[in-house]
Amino acid sequence: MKNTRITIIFISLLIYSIPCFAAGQRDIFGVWGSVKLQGDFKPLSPELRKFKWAVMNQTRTRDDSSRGSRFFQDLLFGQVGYQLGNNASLWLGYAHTWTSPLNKLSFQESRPYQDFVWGQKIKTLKLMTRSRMEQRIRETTGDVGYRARQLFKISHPLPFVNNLSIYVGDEILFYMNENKFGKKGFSENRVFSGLSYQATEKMNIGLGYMGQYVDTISGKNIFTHNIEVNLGIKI
Amino acid sequence: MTKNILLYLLMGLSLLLTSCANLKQITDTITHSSDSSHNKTGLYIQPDLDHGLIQSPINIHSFNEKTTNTHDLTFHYEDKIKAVENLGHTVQLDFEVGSIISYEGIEYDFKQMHFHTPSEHLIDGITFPMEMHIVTQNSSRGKNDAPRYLVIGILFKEGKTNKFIDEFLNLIPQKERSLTSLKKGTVKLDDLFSSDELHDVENFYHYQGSLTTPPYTETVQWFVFKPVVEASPEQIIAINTIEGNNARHIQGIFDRVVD
Repeated sequence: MKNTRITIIFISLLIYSIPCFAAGQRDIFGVWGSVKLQGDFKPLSPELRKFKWAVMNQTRTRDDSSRGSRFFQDLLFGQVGYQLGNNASLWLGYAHTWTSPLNKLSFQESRPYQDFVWGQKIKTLKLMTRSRMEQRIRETTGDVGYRARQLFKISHPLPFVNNLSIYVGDEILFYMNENKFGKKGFSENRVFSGLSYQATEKMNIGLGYMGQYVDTISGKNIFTHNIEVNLGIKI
Repeated sequence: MTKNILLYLLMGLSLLLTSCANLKQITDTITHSSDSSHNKTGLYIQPDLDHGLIQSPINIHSFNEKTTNTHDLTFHYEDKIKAVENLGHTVQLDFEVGSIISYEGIEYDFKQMHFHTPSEHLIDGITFPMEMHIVTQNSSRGKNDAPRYLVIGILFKEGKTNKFIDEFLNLIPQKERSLTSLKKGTVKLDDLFSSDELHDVENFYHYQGSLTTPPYTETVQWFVFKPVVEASPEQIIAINTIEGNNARHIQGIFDRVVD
């Protein structure tokens, strides 16, 4: 009964997280698909069991063209982390991105980033936060955008299907400097929710919604509504 | 009295008929001027040159623009500029092979960009001190197919020093018809596109036209960016000193639509 109540609260949060279409902003629809491989360095040496790694590729599309949906961005991530106790971990990562904005030159970016991840289980609830500092470096021009991001995520197992859980979360992004990528200060908010299914011990499948509000330099703000499809494999 | 009234009526009728005849003449002139065959024969055509009714540049009437928002350009761009040339009549930068722009299912290769001083296109009758053309040409075509072009026009006004122009200005060879090879990364078009003025370019004037130099080929999709970019007066004068006044006169729009 208690589980059902929590589930109802989650579903309410999920619906609440899907934003209204507001006037004065451009709404764009898309798909964010990702594949993530992760593991630790224990096979190399038992002493390295606290060191972890992850590799991820995410492809994003947008329907901002009159010809329909099109490739917008690809991000290739690689990161190594160190487990600090049971709840926290530190990560150093690098992402290379290929972006193809409409009516603008396509460009590549190097994005080193540093994460602090904290996770806590409270009975059936799983809480997770991630604090990230990243440096967006435009390959051709060398422009750098220093961006701070804070993510919160709560997940809860669904009572009526084994291994299926519901999640909801939010991430807020700020630029710390004047740069060519976005405004100094608040630049983006991402609200997300969906279902996560632990198909096997090593494979997880996620399907959800990601609403991304972007406060652009030009003031022509956009709201992208994305279907998120994630595949995670533990090695 | 009656005689006078009749006289006035006759005069009035005569005036009315004259006006109608004039009106018909004006209408005929308008009809003829939009009739392509008449214009083709009526225009002065240089031998062996494509010189019809869709010539460039034009005076763009911003208030007549049809906003369709159906023109989407997708770039697959690698910032590789291999040389800067002094061609005498223009300053030209050459692209390495590999950069592509897609428009309406056709892929165009980046070829070169060059400058005109003053601008060739006019906006509502206003000339700008400089215009840059990024020339692309369709990648794959049949043996007998005419080449198709997509040209991006960027207008410049006097203002602050332009970083992009600064990157090659001192590398332009002094001798006519000679070039300076550039190392990768010396000149970055991205510095122009990521400038404040062009950062959020979504609006441009589009129309179908021609090359503005011989052979004036009429298979050009023109995209003239609405934002006007700044360059310092010294930079504009330096380019003008090399190439002189090399803008073609504006051409008739005829039935074309700027959208």
